[in-house]
Amino acid sequence: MITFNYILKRVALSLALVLGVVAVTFVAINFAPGDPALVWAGKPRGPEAATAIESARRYLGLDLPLHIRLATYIYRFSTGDWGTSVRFKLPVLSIVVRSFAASLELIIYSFAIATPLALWLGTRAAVTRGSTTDRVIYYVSAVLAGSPRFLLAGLLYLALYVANYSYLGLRLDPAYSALRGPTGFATIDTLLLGRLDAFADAVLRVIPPALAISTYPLGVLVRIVRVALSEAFEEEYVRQAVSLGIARKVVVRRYAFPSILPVISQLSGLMFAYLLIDAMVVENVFSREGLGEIVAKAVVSSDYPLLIGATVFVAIVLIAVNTIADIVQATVDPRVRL
Amino acid sequence: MPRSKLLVAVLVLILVLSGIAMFSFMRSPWFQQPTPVRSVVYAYRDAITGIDPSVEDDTGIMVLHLVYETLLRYDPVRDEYQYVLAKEVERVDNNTWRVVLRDAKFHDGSPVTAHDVRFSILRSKALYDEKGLGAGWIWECLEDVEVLDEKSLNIKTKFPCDVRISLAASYSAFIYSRKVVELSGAGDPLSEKLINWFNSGNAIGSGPYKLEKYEPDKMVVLSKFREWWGWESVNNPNAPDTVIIRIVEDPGEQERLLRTGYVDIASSVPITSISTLRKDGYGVIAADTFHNFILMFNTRRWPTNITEFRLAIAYAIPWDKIVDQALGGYGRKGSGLLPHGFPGYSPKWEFHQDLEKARELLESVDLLNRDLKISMVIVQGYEEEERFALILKDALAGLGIELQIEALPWDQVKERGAAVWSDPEEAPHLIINDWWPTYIIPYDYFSFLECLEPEEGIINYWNWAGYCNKNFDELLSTAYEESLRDLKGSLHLYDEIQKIAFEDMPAVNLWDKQHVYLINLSKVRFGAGALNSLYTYVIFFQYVEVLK
Repeated sequence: MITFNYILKRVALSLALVLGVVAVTFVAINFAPGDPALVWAGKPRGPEAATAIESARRYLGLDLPLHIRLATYIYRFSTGDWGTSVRFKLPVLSIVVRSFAASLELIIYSFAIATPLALWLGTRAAVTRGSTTDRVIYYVSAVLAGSPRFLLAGLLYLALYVANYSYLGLRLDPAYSALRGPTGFATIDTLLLGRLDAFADAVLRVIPPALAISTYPLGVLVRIVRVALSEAFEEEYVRQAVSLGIARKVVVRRYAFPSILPVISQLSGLMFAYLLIDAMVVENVFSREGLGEIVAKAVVSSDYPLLIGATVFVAIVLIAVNTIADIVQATVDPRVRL
Repeated sequence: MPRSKLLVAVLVLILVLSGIAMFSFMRSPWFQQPTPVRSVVYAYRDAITGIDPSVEDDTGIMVLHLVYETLLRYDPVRDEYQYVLAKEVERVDNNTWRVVLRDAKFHDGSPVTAHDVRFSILRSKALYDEKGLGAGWIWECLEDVEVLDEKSLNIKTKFPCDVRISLAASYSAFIYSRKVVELSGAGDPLSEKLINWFNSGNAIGSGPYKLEKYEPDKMVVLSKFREWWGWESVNNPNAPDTVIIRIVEDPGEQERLLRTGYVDIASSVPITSISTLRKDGYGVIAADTFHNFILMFNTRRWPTNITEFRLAIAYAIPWDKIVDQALGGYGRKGSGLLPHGFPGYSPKWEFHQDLEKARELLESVDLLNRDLKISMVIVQGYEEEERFALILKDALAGLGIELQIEALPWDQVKERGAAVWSDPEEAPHLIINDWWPTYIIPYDYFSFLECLEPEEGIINYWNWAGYCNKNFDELLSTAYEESLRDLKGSLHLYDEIQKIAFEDMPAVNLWDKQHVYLINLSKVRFGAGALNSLYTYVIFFQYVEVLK
């Protein structure tokens, strides 16, 4: 049985990691070129321009020593005040969360595409191991897992563009822009609002980038399923079931499959977090909103608060997912706790 | 019961229940198709930088002029002021102007009063005077605003001054409800809290459109304000009910969205696509603007600190190719620093390419064929700047000057330009700045060459040339005050200022840009009054027809 102490230790370690990420990101970005005060002040003109820039510098705390700024930032960060975007003049947290919802929706769709397909293909490869089908599936999955997503996304975008597929780009048809929902997921909000036309529009827009992102989990999961199932087929209880004349489908579904599910679920969890990085790249190719788009905008406009907020947010997601995966694994396998 | 039958039974049950649920859902108020509205989607290129009507001094203009109103609007074509929130503006004496307001309402239903006008103007002025924010310097000559009654007021000036110029300014002249202080919970009208309140998407203006949704990096949604006083006079029953301004940075993406019907108006498609789009049946509206692109020379760094060198570059520019090759025909060749049609503009300051003259000038300072390398910064993604830079690079190569071009995002361009004061060697030799007016005074276009007092730390952050000329500053100051008194009478002074700039060559206007709007002709039609060159980038949607 997993101990409370272990969970406490893992959570404490994660918090320390988050703190470290905040500190390193804050310091690193503060050494980057660019003056956020100039961006914040807008286009000050005439003799009072210097006052505006100085006020901006004070307001943003840029006149304080770095360690005090860092301490203040960490304190505010922990209270949910992640600062204000110097470019958009809005709270960083609200921008990041809104953008994250768009990225998350994309990842969920990519998993919805990848997981069933990977389970089916991986199983096919495992049960026909050594055959041509197995080899084709194996090589295709290797290519899918190893190809850079930005390249696949670019090629897919071009192909769809040439084919006059009009649902590229923006996350939601601008004509539906006034639609607002509680979740931030276009596909769910449009349903909640009862707008099936907007729902269809949102789905048609999310599928191409989701397809591009899904190639990685698809490639990896196929190979994992194939190997894990092949190993399971060698287990004594599976061989026993086969020797008893139980149908192959039943053996796979009832005896072999349950043993590989923990591995797949854990790996999916980890991949889910890492796909956030892929989503950030692919979103830019498809001109969709999301964390990637917001980071790109923050970089070019020296929007330090937004850049720090987005970076830290991604780090928190990765750390949280890893922590949960560790705890789950420790629950399943006590050796991990040692 | 066998398992397969049980499974079928469960599936049937699920299907039946789903059908019932879907049927109820579709009949419920949640599933009401929206009432058909006339909506227009406008793709604009840059993020909105803010919407505090007293502070915003950049791209927010396109939203502010729809949500708020000024007292007057200037029509550069007719050279006359139009009444907006004011119905009368007359000079009572040398230092007093009487303003009578029309019966207008704010978006919350409350009447626009003289108290609101006083509050708005004084806040704009104070924000600049005390915090340097916004374009409050347009109220330079303002002494006070006296409320006479709910609908009339006196505007007192410090000296005889044509206050109409400020009342019709494109920035910091908006009128809004004084309730904003209370609603925002900010005790002080100048507080950051109130500025943040505006920038969070709140507004109480009196303009033809209400702010519904504000996501400055993505979109702005505006809805028709049906109680706007002007609908009757505009007489446009087809004006859009909803205006969606969508931020689409990539020109290629703008073109694609226009072609696929997701956008009705595009502000920035690639120049090379315009003719094809026209052939394909899209409308092309090329609007003259006062938006010009100015080449600034770093006067604090060798060799651009040498006047002859700067002049040589000016003569080397293939002026007659710029409009065709860099702008695709959509613009006008620059002349001096003032844009075409602006008070004080004269074609006599036009340059023509003269490579012989350029060689002579370079030879006079022993800089001909010396294999010089100079740097130039342009704005990343500005197609016309990129094309111009390449044209200039070719031209300078013939004089033995290598031009190194660096394309940077706008905020970094601004920073590199301002570096001329802190570290001239860090600032580029050449830099392009684009400029559009705040009000109809030529000073606006010379102000970026004012030196101010750098030795006392008062720096002109827009003087990317690092140009300091006491005579220029004094003359400009005199011309400025004179133009506030009597604009036409001051133009000879601006001519003298232009002569100094022509001879010293710290900066030169390369071109005046035409803004090219691509429109879906089956959906949208621009009426007279939809565009006004003083209010750059603004589409007055009350004059736009949406065809169903």
